[in-house]
Amino acid sequence: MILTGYGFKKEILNNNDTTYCLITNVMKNTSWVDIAKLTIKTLHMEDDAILTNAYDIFGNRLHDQLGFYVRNERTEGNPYFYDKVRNAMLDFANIFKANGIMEDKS
Amino acid sequence: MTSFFNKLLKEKEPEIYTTLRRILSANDEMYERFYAKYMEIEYALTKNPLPAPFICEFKSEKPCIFSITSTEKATYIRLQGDEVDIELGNELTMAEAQDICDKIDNVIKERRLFFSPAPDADFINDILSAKKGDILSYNNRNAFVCVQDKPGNMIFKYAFHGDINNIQIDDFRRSETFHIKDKNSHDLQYIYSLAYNYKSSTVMRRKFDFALGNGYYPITEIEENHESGSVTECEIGNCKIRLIDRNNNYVWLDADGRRIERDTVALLFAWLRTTSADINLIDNNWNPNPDIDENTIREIEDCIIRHDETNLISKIYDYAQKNNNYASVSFTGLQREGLIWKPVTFAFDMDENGNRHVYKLTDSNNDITIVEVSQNEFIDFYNERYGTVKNIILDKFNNYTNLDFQKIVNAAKHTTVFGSLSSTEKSELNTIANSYIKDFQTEKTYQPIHDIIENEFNE
Repeated sequence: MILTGYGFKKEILNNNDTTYCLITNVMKNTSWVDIAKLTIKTLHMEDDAILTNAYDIFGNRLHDQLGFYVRNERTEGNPYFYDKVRNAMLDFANIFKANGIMEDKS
Repeated sequence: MTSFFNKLLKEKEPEIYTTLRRILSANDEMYERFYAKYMEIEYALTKNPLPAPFICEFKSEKPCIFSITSTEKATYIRLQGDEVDIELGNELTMAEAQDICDKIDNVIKERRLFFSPAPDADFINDILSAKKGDILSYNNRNAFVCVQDKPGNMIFKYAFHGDINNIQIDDFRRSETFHIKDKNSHDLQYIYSLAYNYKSSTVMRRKFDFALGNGYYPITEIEENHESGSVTECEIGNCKIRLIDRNNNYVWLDADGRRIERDTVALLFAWLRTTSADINLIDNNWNPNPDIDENTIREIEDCIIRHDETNLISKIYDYAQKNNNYASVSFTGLQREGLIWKPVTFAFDMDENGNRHVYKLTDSNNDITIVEVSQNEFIDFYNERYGTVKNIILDKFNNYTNLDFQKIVNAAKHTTVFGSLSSTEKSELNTIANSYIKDFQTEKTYQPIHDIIENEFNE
């Protein structure tokens, strides 16, 4: 897999020439990793999403985080796609908090 | 061998030709009228005469030739071709010259003629790979939004066209349209000419997260803070837009009370949030300096793109010191105060004792004020202009993992307008969450998500 820096918008190109774009970074070893996976499952993105190296907006590797990426095609023509994923992640987080799985820092 | 010599000859092109191309390809407010270019061309030719006529051939649907010849008597500019023959140089009064220049302006606009170099492969690929909703913003501040991404029939519209001091909602509402069939399309080359920065001879796309979708974040925030029955006003330079509510629906209006589509407002805010400042070299009267130092501008642009604040400040003062009492560097951009974005210009000067000064110019309804401000005020402005780009990314991506969680939850309470989950998805989400929690609490492992494995790799 080759990683290409694309200005501040990170894109990842795999060996099959599929381009992915960043949805969010998640902290390793936290419930957020599972939330990302559950969101992938809920929105049926198993074939379109990957969890791999994370980078900050300046292109520096974030060793304590993972990047949640989806195929570019999934976001095309859908400016609300990010919000949908965000809303799904927040819904999971709220349920986790209510059940004491995640710490409520508010 | 021939091509080698041709290349060599091309490289050794007399400087005056480069100067003329640069004047002709300028597309900012200073050179908006051809008359301003004509004045500049005449001035350049008095210092450096033309060894042979300067000729540009336009091979569009209606071919024409633009030429400049200079004699001891006068400078002649001619635009000649299919259904057009305009000559400048024989007029007797300034008014007559202005009229002829306006006619040249009309033909240039009508036939979309341009004087910039041909677009390079990177630019062509960038345009042809744009996706619907992408905003392509360039370092000369012009921006284009992709409204159709069908291969062979791509459509772009101006996202912003005009002077930053005089932003009009119509710049976003009824903007010029460009149709691109392939890499040879005239409109593609024309977009290049509009994106071309004659000051630094570059076309640099600001590859931040420019997408129409970004504009929905600020407008949703404004709508959330709107008090029912009241009027919320936003000012962006001279452009005033208002938000009211009718029958539980938000309505955006322009200064004349005409309705503005939500998409248009989103486009305005997407551009506004991510547009950065424009840099100029200026003289003592704050006028752009025609003797442009391309390398300085390029170095400063490079610092901006890399968000290298320390080097930026040091380069600005180096330049101010080198050009003491003659020229300085200015930044023009929009400074935010609540829901008001004011055009401001910061200029830098180093006096003979080596003291650093920052001045701020504001122009409100032709009431110009210049005050000395602290370097920190400029840094705040810089960070606001360039930091917003960073913040958009952080808001969108990284905040999931930090302590601002409650802020996101609060914001998300009102995000039913867009990106909401369908009832089927909601139901599926709850089922999956419950299964996960059940397994988690009984220390089992939730199998379905184990198929989604994180895959790290070494660089």
